[in-house]
Amino acid sequence: MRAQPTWCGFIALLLLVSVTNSSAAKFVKNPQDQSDILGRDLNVPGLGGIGHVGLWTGDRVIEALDQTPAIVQNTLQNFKSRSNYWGAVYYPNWNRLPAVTLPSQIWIPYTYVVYSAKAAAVRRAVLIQQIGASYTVSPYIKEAFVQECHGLSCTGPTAGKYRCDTFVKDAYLKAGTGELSFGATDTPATLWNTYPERR
Amino acid sequence: MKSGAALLALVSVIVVGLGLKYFMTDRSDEREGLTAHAARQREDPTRNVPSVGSENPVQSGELSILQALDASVLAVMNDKTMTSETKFAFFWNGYQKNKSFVALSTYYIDCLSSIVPLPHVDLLLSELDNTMIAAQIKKHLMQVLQSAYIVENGLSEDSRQRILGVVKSNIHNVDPEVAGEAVLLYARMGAPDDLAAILGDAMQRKIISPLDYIREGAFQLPNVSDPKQQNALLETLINAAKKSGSDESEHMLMTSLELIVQSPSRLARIDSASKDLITQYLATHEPVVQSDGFNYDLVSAIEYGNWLTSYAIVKNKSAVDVLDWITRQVTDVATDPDKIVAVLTSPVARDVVRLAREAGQLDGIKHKLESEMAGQRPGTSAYSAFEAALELLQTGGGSDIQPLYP
Repeated sequence: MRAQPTWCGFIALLLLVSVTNSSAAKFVKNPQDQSDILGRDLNVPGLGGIGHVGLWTGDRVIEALDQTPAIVQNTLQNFKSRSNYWGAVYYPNWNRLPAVTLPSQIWIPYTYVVYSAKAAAVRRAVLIQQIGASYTVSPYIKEAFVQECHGLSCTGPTAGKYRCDTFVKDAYLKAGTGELSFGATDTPATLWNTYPERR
Repeated sequence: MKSGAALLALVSVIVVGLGLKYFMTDRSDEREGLTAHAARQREDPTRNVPSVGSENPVQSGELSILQALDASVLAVMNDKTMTSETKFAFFWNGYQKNKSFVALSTYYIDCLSSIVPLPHVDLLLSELDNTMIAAQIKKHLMQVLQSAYIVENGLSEDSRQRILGVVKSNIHNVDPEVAGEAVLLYARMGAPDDLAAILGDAMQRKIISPLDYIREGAFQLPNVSDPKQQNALLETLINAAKKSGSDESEHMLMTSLELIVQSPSRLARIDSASKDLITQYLATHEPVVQSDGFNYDLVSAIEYGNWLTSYAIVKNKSAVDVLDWITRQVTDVATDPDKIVAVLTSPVARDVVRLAREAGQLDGIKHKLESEMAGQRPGTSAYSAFEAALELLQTGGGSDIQPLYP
């Protein structure tokens, strides 16, 4: 007779967990516009909360992964299939930022194109991919540079070094979002959570 | 410094305790989606339906640990009162204490690049000879050294030459991972004469991927002075892209060739036979502008604009002819409106608008874009793209600088 209440309690607990989980689960939306930041769990058991982020180009996700080359473009389905997808967030003030001039190529002499700030973030991300970059787990950023010249001697283009969040951060900063948007201890998850506006 | 060391020790213990050797590592095989789970998801017919997920656990334990670790190293990096020596000691100790944990040890090694000029180059060079350390650690040590070589500032010529020598000697390292990294780092150390041969050899030994070979080989193309060797390298690159069977390789080759074509000083160093081969390659690899009426992909638009400009350059003799040719493509009644918008994101946009206006064909383009836009929903990226293109048609050629893309 004593076992019955225990089983009832167990079933009640299961129901409670089930209800709690279903209410916590949300329909997480796809990105809608260029430069939306996509987030998902880091695909390592027990460490998912650290997170992984990428930038939406309008058709693909451009992201930094621990591989060679580090900067790659993947489909949304591919991004979502790798771990628990968080959704997309966006920077609300793109339209208030001035236009940005970026080089259209990586060699001197450059030609330049004027982009809106939002498009400039994507363009910078693609430029980093063209230049090349390696992956680091540290917060240290080595910016990818178009060809660099010191006096008469030119080297480069100089490959960068990024983590997934510092890669997105570089693209945003070059688009003129400013340092204020970011804390000193960014991680992929904190970067994603910097923006309350969610799709 | 004491508190910094204590924090370092504390964080290290916690991190090690949690088995953080895999932290921040996203596997490349997952990128390809080769797991059965990912494959199932790709085949799922409901895959376009928004997925159900949960909010990320922002305050999870593992996140706090990473934040603490990042905070400790960023504080050192940004501390202007600390000497280079002290900073070096902090990161080097972090590396030494965590040698058994590859991700954590490379975390500290990478931070060394923040110190300019880099002290104790000798220490790093001798560590590279340590046979007990993992290949991954050696790769990161070489990256730090190569970075110091490129920055140049404050590093003696003797140190620079030793770094160059060590990176080059590691091209023949028995570990393919270390050897491949050495090749890629060497390729960015000032375009040495023997690079084309080294890249070819590395490709044959399969220590670098076709993608890496194509990118670095194409960068090197204008530096090969012998026309026959240049042509042979280009043919090898084209064959490598074809043989790999991947769109990524073809895409890499095309964007790399476009970068050469659009740089007058580099194009001048391309022999006529090689130029013909590039023209042929571009002619058969026209990119598609990805747009479905809702989403307009900026990257594919940039790629199309780059391709059209490059193709025009290799097909025409003068800059005037190039602009005329592009303007004719844009004003052609058969041209897809998505492609017109793409050209308006490219560096030649203003000239094209001016020439179309002079030829009295601006209204034709406007009407075409307006009619396409009528079927689009405001707020979508496609609508914004067309809206900005129309705005450029109205204001372009003037003195006001307007964004070429929304």
